Amino acid sequence: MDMITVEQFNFAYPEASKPTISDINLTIKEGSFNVLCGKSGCGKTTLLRQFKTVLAPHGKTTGSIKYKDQPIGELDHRTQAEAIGYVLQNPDNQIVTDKVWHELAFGLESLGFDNATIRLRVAEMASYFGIQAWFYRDVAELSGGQKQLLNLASVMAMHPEVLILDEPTSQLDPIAASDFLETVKKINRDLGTTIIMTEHRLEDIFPAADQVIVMDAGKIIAIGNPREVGVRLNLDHHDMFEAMPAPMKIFAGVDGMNSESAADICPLTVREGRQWLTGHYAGQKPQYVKVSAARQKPPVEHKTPIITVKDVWFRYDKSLPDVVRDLSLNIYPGEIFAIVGGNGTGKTTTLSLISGVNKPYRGKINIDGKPVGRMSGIERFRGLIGVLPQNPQSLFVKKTVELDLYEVIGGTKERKSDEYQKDMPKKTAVAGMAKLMHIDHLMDRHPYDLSGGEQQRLALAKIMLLNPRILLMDEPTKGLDNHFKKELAGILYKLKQHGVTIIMVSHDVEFCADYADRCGLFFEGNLVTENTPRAFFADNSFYTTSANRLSRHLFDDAITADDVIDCCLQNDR
Amino acid sequence: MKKVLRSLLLCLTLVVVLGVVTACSDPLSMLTGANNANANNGEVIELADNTEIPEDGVIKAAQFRSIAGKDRTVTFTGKSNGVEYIWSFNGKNIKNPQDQNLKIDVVTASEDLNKVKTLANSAPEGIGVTIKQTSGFVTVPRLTLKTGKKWDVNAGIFLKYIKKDNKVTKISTVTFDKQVQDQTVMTFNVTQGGDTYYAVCGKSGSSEPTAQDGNTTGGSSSSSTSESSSNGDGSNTVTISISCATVLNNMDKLNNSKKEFIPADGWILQPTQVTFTEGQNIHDILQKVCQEKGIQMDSEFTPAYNSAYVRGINQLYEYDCGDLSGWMFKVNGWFPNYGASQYNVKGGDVIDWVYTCDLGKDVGDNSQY
Amino acid sequence: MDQFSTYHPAINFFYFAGVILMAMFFNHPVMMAEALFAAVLYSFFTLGTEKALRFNLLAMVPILLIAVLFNPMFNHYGVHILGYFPNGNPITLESIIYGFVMGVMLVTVIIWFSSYNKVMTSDKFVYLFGRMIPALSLILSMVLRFVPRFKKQLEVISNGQKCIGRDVSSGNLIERAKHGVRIISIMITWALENAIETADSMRARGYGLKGRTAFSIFRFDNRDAIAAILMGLAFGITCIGLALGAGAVQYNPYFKAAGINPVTPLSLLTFICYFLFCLSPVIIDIMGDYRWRRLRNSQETGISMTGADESLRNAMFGTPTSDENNITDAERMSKGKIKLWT
Repeated sequence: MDMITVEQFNFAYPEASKPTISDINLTIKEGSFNVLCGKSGCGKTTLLRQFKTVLAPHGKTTGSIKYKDQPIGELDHRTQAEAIGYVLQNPDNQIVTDKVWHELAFGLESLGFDNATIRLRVAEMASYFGIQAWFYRDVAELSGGQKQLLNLASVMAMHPEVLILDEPTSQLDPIAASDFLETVKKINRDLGTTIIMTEHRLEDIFPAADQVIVMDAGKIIAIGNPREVGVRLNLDHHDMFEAMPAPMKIFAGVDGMNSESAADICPLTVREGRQWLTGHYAGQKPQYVKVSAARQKPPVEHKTPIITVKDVWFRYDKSLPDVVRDLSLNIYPGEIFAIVGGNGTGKTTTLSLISGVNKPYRGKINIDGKPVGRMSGIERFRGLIGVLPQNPQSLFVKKTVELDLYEVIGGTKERKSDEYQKDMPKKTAVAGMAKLMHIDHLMDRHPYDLSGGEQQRLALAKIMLLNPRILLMDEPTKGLDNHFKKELAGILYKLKQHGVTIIMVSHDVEFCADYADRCGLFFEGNLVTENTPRAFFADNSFYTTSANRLSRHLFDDAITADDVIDCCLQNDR
Repeated sequence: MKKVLRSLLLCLTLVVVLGVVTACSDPLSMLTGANNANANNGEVIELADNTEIPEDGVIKAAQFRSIAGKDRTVTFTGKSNGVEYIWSFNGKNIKNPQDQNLKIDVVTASEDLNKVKTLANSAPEGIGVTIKQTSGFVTVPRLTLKTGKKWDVNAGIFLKYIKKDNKVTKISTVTFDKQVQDQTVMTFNVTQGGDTYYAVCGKSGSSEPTAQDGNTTGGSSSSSTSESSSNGDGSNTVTISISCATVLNNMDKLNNSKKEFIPADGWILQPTQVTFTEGQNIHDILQKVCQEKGIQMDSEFTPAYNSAYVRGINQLYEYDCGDLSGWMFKVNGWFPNYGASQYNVKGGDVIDWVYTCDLGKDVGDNSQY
Repeated sequence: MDQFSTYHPAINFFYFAGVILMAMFFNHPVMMAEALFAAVLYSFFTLGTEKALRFNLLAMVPILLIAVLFNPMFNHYGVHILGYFPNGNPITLESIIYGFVMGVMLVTVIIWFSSYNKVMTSDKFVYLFGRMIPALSLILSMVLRFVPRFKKQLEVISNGQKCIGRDVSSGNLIERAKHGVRIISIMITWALENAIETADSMRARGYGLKGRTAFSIFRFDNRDAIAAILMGLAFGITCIGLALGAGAVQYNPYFKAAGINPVTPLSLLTFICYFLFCLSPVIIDIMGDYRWRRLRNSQETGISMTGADESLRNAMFGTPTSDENNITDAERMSKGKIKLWT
């Protein structure tokens, strides 16, 4: 029996002129692992929410959604709560109680189970997930990854038949994300729970998926097993193909992937890609092992550094251990410097030290030769440093985008103030910035109604209106889809042209490989190594892009999919 | 370490604040506001030397304010039942001007009057006055009655008649205006109102009226000559006594732990002569004598009343004998309507500190009723 | 380690309610001495030796001193006059004694409360009072979740604003007020918007269905029953003795206390029972320690349970031990880090 069947389904919001999702035909088989992907705003969440009646938005629907041959609207609340589980994106927001045990029991309490049953189910679930050690902990002590795992366990304790996850790993760092996805796969494998999941990071999830559904502008444009979908997207030259895992892209770039039959041999994982690549050269070493000169970026000239960090030590409290240890670092004007490294290594703290929010107890940090500690807040943050916070929502004050932009420069009145010293009229500045950040079509929207990527660009616009020469960004690509990442990169490049120095902390190895001028690896509060991306990632065996891992046995310095394709093409000529 | 220092600092500031507060005053009364300290604020209506008492009998506080604290005497005249009466107020001891109802009803003949005359050693003549003013007098006024009759009398006393006990107590001595020949004009001090009082007269010697002195509880003392002048008798001593005799009649209401602090005869301090220096007030005298004699006395300064308030003497505190119990004081038989710190003593004053168990009624002050 | 906190919450609550009420209403010197001794002793078990010493000496002793100094300033009753204040009121021995008594009472109650904080954790509290109204247990839990969360978010927002030059801690008063208001406005919007997701999450898990139960991880077992009976007995006898006047004491106008001179059997019994009641947790802790030591000695060759089994058993049979036991030193260290990096 099919778990969920969707037939000719359309949905439109009450005031909308055209439907948000239309012509959806879809079957979810029992025990299958389904991945739903598409650009931000394509209707994925709207579709997913239709499967959970309490979360479904109000609006006009046509067509039908059936759960086990029963119209989903006719399911009683209890069955619907128990049988269909839903995990949301933000780990923090989903947690209701203050203790782990209470959170695990929450759903079961709502369903009215007695103490003994709850105790059994909770014990079972905690052991299965391996979280029994946290049972009595306060929720506030858990990390983001642990919280999301807790949310998953809390839902699984109710023994659902279908598990729906809406971008569950977008707020997590890669390690936590991969742990989480492993757990989801385990649930599908061991328990046979049907999984429907949306994701932007397809590298991990593609190999495990039984069915991939690609949406664009509210319609399904490709559906089938992962390889079929890849081939379909490539044949249609759809830009969603950019979101496909690197092995697939490399295969398409080299082999053309011009026919449906390519779906049989298309590699999905790094392992398969490696095997295919070796096979492609029939076990021989290729002639050209370096990326062509056209792709090599010119080395950055090392002028006088704009930021110097020397022998800096920092800890949050006297009784706590050092967070930043003996750090020395130079940042040059106009470069994009990426700091990568695991959780808890001191990356975010370093940013806060450079911005002057925290002060090191040993060592010096100078910007333009002046010590940061001696500068006042106004000196630092008006015209010198801009900090883009991890959560852009923490900057939003007003109720439209336009008003919010004006707000940061002192309001809509055209006059000079503390915040705004330029001769340009405010209107021009705001319009110009909105255009630069690609949010000029959103001026009348409420900031909280924007998508994640749009919110980030709005926050960035606000910061840039204060004309900083140095931009500090903490996890700028968190939760962004490929499309937005590209847009963001474009904006960063434009800023670079205007002479802005950019330092970003990121877990997104691929993004840094593509766009950074220099990368530094942080470990235990210290910068272990820094170099241009190519040299940096090529040197690393583990902390590197999948394209690199796929090809490092043959090519020396290919770090992106395009690099690998380029190398292959060189050799194929 | 920082946290500890901070909490210590907080403790220290608390100490300082509390200390300042204690050293000055009773903090609570600062909140309840100065409803009584209007002696020197508020409107003032000038008084002529002689004023006729209005229809309702009330002379306003504003009028008394014009003479408060000044050594000036004003009079008020009225007529009742054919008898003209004149009140005479000296402002020296007025510290807390209030409205005073000076209307009186003169009683020339009644059954009670006869009883009183009999009790007072069968005095031949007498006249009664029903004094309307209940809530105490702002000073000790003198009342003059022009009887309209010529009595053959030369001595008299002004009495209070306690009906239920069928006895009379003396309030003050009556003096006669010898210069007036056609009628008897008598004058006496009035220390309280709200009841009917009787002035009985006779001839000195055989028909001289006598009565127990109602001014001092328990004991007897001569009515001081200071009652007739507001300047004292020129000496530098006053007499002070402390009595809790009323408790002896209310032992069932007494707080158990205080039983052993009630002397069998009610006298905590028998009437004692004490020297004073110019400018000392009743509270000063009380404090001095208690310290000398080793009697425990607890008072606190109340800024609202601009005076010290005596909470307890000899471990006997207010409310120790029922909800209506506490310490009161009278000077020369009069209960001032202001605090003990505001009355500067003069030579010859008789100060009695008395413990009441019913808001003053049992010690002769019915001003609260 | 404090064993008493592993007992059923009702026992914990009964104990603390009992001693705190007794300490507040009865100030017989023997009872106060017993209560203070027991409170201080127990605080060593709940707070740990170092913290307890610091707390008791640095915070409690000053409070005591303040009380002793202040009461004579306000109260002047008492037959033993030691001297006179500048304003003429006497300094009496009785008022000093009573000041001391008040100080001891205050200190005792404060120490009891500090132990109470450690023993009655939020989930015990939620359990006890949530039993009465199940909805209350959830609300309490949610409040306890949101308060630290909002505090943290306030810090995040404040930092974010600091980085665009709007620092709450600098500038003149008006500017700082404006910044503060802005931060609060952002905070409220953030809270409301994110609460929608929380509501979604709750509804998705069936919140709102009829017949909601409240899960409790506490089980009232034999150990609790025995403790309840013994403590109840001690408390009951104490109450009877006090009702019969064993605790009568007077400080005004002079000091007089029942049961000291002469010592009557009733007062002796009352004082002993009260002392035992106050010391119940200490007795339980000492007995627990003794039992552990004996067990360890005899278990040298025994087989111990594996970690997973033990925790499953704990979860299923509801005999929770304090958090401290379940995490290793490394985890404890990194706990500090976990707090920083989320």
